[in-house]
Amino acid sequence: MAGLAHEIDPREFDSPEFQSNPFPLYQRLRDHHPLFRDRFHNRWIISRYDDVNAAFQDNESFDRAMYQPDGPYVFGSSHVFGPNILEYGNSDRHRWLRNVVAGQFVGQGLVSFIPFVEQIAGELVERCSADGEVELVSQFSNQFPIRVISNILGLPRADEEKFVVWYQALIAGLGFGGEHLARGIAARNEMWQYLEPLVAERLAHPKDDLLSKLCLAELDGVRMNMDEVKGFIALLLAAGGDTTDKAIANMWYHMLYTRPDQFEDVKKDPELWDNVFSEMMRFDPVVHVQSRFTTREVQMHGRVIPERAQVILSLGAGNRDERVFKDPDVFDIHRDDLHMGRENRSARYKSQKPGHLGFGVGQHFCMGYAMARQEAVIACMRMMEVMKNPRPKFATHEGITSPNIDSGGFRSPRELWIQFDK
Amino acid sequence: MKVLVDKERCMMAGECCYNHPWLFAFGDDDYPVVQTVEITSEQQRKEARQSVQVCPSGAISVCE
Repeated sequence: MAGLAHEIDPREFDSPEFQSNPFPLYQRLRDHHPLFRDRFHNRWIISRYDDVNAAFQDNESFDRAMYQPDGPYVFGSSHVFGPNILEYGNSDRHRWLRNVVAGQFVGQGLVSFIPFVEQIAGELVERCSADGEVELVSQFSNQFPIRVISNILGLPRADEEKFVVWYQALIAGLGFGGEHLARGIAARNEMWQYLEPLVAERLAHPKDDLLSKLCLAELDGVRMNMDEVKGFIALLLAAGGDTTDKAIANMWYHMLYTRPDQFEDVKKDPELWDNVFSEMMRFDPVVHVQSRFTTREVQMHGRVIPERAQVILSLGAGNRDERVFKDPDVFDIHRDDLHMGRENRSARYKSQKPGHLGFGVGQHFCMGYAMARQEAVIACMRMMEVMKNPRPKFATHEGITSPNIDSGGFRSPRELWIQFDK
Repeated sequence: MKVLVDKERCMMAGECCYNHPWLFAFGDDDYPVVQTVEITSEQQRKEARQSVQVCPSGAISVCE
């Protein structure tokens, strides 16, 4: 029977082959099943660039959270984070909560914080560059963003180490059940206990930090309650830490192992780290999927997705769509068919070039997009200043994998050893 | 209160349109257009000032 070779067994999505290299399956999805009904996992998958982009922007049809007929939203992470902004879907409350912190991560608030990001990057690079070699993941990238975010919140610098530990447990708990979930919840409870007096203190004596803003922000005269503040902080630590952490590792992996030739260009012109970031976010972003629920029937590719169905927006697949990008499976920091440089929530660019889908698009576009890019590029540039002539310690590498048990399903290298001259 | 968008500086980030849809919408040329709306309440004034804060390109300004 024609076409049978292209049939997809949904169990392939759970296979080790898919986890280490999802891209061949992505291609089969795009070419033969642009709207795939996954009966095994009870979900739909869309994978072409234009479809994913359109779904991200169609808030009328696709919601971030699922409505129960007579109850609140359902969202999978609440048992780890506590109540948080992601649960509020496409609501006014979501927009309000987002606005409370947006000023800190986007626009003018971010600019004022950059010198501090530079300082933290400098301290960490100093600390892990003494031996002429570094294991990037554990010694640097795993720690850097979490230290930045805890400082933006205004948490005591002396307690940064605690947050690194809690954060790792939260992330593991988020993606996996069993003992990881138990440890994640234990870490959350410990962190909540720690935070309670700090929140009370900010309520009584507000400072000029994000924690105070969270405590004092009002919608129609009502503040967030203690649980909401704590849930918000847990979310910021996890979402603001894990992704940037892995992005830095992915950038270095692709420079060291995928394109050592283009790495030479970057060594000569460190400004190119901005392009490395853009192309990494297209070629192999940390996050490959976002989930939505239909709020009504949606017509697509001659079929109908029913109301209240789960739809996976495969941005990892959309980013490799040959209908949009030439030679999509080539990592190229000089490509001229991708918008390079700062991302936009609107997916509209003056250059008229398509952007990567790595941060999503639209209403739920990654709030930390500007922060993440700045952090990643600053970190890489700082490392290059101190670590001369960086090169891989081992000739071969197992590659970027997912999900490793502590990654929450995100894609990144488990380890990345770099040697350099001092 | 009057809200202004400088198209020269605007980089189409969309922050204003997504965060404050009552005040901004994408125009036909993809640049944000300030909606014709009376800014009367304190909450509206606050949001207008927030839109200045979240604009990544510093393209929005308000005249109190």
